[in-house]
Amino acid sequence: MYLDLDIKDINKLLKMKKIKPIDLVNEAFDKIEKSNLNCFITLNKEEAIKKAIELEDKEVDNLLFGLPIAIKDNIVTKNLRTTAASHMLEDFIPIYDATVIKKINDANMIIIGKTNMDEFAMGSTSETSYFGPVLNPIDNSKVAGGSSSGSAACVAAGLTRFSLASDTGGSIRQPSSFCGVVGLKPTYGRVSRFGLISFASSLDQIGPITKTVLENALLLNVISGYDVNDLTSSKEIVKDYTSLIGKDISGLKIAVPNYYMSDVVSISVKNKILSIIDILKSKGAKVDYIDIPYLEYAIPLYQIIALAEASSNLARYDGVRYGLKVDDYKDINDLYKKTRTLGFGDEVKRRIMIGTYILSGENAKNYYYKALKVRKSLTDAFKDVFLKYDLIIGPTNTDVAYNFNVLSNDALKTFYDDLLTIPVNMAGLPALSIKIGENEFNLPIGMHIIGSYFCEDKIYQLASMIEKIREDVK
Amino acid sequence: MVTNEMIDHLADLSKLYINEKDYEKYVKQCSDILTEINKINLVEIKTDEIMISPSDNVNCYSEDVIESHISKDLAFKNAKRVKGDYITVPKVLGDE
Repeated sequence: MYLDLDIKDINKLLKMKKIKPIDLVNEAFDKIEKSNLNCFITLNKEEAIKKAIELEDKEVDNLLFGLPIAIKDNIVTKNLRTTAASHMLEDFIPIYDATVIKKINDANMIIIGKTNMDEFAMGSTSETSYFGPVLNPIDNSKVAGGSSSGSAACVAAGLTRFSLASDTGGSIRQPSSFCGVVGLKPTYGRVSRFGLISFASSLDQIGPITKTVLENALLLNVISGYDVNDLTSSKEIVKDYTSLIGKDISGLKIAVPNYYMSDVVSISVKNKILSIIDILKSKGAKVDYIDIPYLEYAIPLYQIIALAEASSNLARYDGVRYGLKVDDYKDINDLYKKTRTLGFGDEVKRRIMIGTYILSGENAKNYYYKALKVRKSLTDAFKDVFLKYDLIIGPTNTDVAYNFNVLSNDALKTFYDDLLTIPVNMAGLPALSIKIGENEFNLPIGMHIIGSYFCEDKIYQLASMIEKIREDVK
Repeated sequence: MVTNEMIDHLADLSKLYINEKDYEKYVKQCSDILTEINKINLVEIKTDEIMISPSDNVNCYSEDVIESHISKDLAFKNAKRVKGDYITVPKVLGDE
């Protein structure tokens, strides 16, 4: 199986013409067809085969050349159905490519399909997907996390080594932790959001999910950069994010927030983090436990800011220019209401209503503006930490992957899944989840590595050390 | 306190219909969430500054150049009710 090889070895085989891109594409589709995980909503088989054949005449000019990649179904792909896992967009065919898709194509990677997710990225288990839930490849009775469920599960299952996903409150890192893969939410503005179906525009960010740290950094190199079509994208120079991989971590100053090791975290997760901290100290890193204020207000902050932005962003789905068609209506208001009632699932409707409440009249002052002040205070607190420390670490999640249907009677659980990841989105910082081991039931435990703005290279430096420690233990 | 009337009002503003059998569920779920949201009022902060976005970009202007973006055919590609050069909608103005 070529897709199980190290990408440097795959690259050598491609250069030596011992294999062709079509071999990799065929292998990916063979695996997908045999998989029962429900990772994909739409496959791109015909186009992927066409592209693979076209690449046979091209020079193998980069490590990602000819490799299959899966794309979360809230990133628009020209002429390839993009649904955001919603009935509302079940037949939506985009008329342009997202900027990240153009960059993926320019690197000569091959898009194999669009991955399953929570509807409009709202959820943490994929149970809100119109197309049914994704199963966790490690244990099919458990959720794969979310909202980027398919993107994490397809990499964990080895259907492909690369995927793109999005993260608004933890949607890359939480499923990456539940499935035991490497997932990065870049600094806000590092990667263009042009073509990402909006959920909460001041929090959303596209990022890579991969098998290894090196692959993650290589993919970030490809998708990063300023984009004239996204005026929140940054002109900050794009570094080579692989440059610190494998470098000594001696002298690295690392902070562990006390809240991230408090009773909100399960014992097995906490113990695993503590064992890694001991190893990092033995390698010369300086690790301190510190207090960061406002972390405990992550949930109300997210509910106010994300849902307010969501209610505004999702106002565009009216069934007129695109989206679900209903035929029986009395007037324009009835058309809007019937389209949205039929097109959106329960979680999305609830979030729109709460967001609408937050932005109505006096509530905007009482809740929304107060939340924006808390957001500023939290961000300043993070900036203070990074004056003294290179990185912040802790668990990605409070616990490991859990059973299906846990959320059905608890509207808050889905938010609590992102308790430790949300603060990062509020501040716009970069952060990564990497597997550090398993619990007693063999379920992956993820470590959260948070960096300062545009310091993804340092995150990868520590992550690559953890990857090495994991391999040494094997 | 969340009531059926409040759910009706929010649904109307959100352009949604609520099924009769779902009121109880929405009342409970929205109550739970609003209780959580109220915790924001417990936070003591020292600043009056707000943060709307993490982006530091200021005054991003595009070049003032005329470009062709999408054709009419593409713009209409996903619309379900097209007549000639228009996307049709139900009549918006009243009869008077």
